[in-house]
Amino acid sequence: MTSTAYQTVRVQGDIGDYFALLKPRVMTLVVFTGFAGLAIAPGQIHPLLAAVGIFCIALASGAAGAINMWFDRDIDAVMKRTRDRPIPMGRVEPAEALAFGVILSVFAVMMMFLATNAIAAGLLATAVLFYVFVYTVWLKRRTSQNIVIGGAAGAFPPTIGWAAATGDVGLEAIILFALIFFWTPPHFWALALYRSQDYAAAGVPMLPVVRGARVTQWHMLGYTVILLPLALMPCAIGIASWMLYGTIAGILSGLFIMSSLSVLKDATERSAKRMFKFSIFYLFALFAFLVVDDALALVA
Amino acid sequence: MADSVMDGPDNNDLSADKLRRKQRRKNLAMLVMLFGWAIMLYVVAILKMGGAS
Repeated sequence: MTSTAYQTVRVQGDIGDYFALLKPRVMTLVVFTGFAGLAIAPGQIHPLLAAVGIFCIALASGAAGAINMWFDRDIDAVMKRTRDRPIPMGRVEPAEALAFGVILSVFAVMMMFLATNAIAAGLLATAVLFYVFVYTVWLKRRTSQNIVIGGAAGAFPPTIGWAAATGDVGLEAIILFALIFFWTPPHFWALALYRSQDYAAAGVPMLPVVRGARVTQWHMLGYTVILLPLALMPCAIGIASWMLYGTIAGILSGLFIMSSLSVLKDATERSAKRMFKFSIFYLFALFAFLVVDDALALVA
Repeated sequence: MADSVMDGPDNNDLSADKLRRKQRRKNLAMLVMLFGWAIMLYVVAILKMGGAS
């Protein structure tokens, strides 16, 4: 191609821009919880097939993120937190992002089916469709309960991991699902508390925008209290020990409640930011100790 | 897009070169991804045929 011909071609994004469309930070948590679900499941799965399964979860999560960025490009351009994303910055065409997301989703679900089983592939497809249609398209701009219901999409990964290993969705997988489902609202509302102006400017009805900071703080406290017994459920049903995981989960859940109480007492951004950071650590730690506990039980 | 067309002739050359490199990087990335995908497909098929689950 000549240099003149190059100038007639519209500049497309660089590789990094396409990578950014996959929301890599969100993907980290998704991959980790998916891995945890797969690791603690009692079924036997070939390590390479397990790795492919985890890769598919990552790919589908990224694909859903890309489709979300395509749909939300108008509000992303308004919000400080998201205005430097590839689409609002004009580095990736919206249609390209949509095609990228759809193709990756199809590839991920197809590969999951080939590598593991129909249940895991079906759950993966459901998670993507739920995130795109239920959360992004339907709920996000309509209700302050957007992330409560929409948060279910992010709760699928450990269930998918479990199904990949066992070909089934049992009570254990449902508890892992519930853990993330009830963790999501306080996690996102902590963020929304110190980004409420941003959300208000974009017209996204997050709870702090619609009902105010005080109501949000009480809701957050409620969810963290629910999380305490829920986090201990893996011990109650026998997939984790009280000694290691139970102790850690109890302490961490207590700290999460305390962090929520500190947000209630201290209305500054600082406490909300601290709780947001702690919420990420909390979920990582819970799932990490589930895996460690399971590994130690296997050794012993 | 913002940097699709530059004004002066010197800038055009620079821009064309930059675009060419960017396009090459993307083509290479696409090649690696498709190759990786094909390998993954083969590995999964072989493992499944071998009775792995």
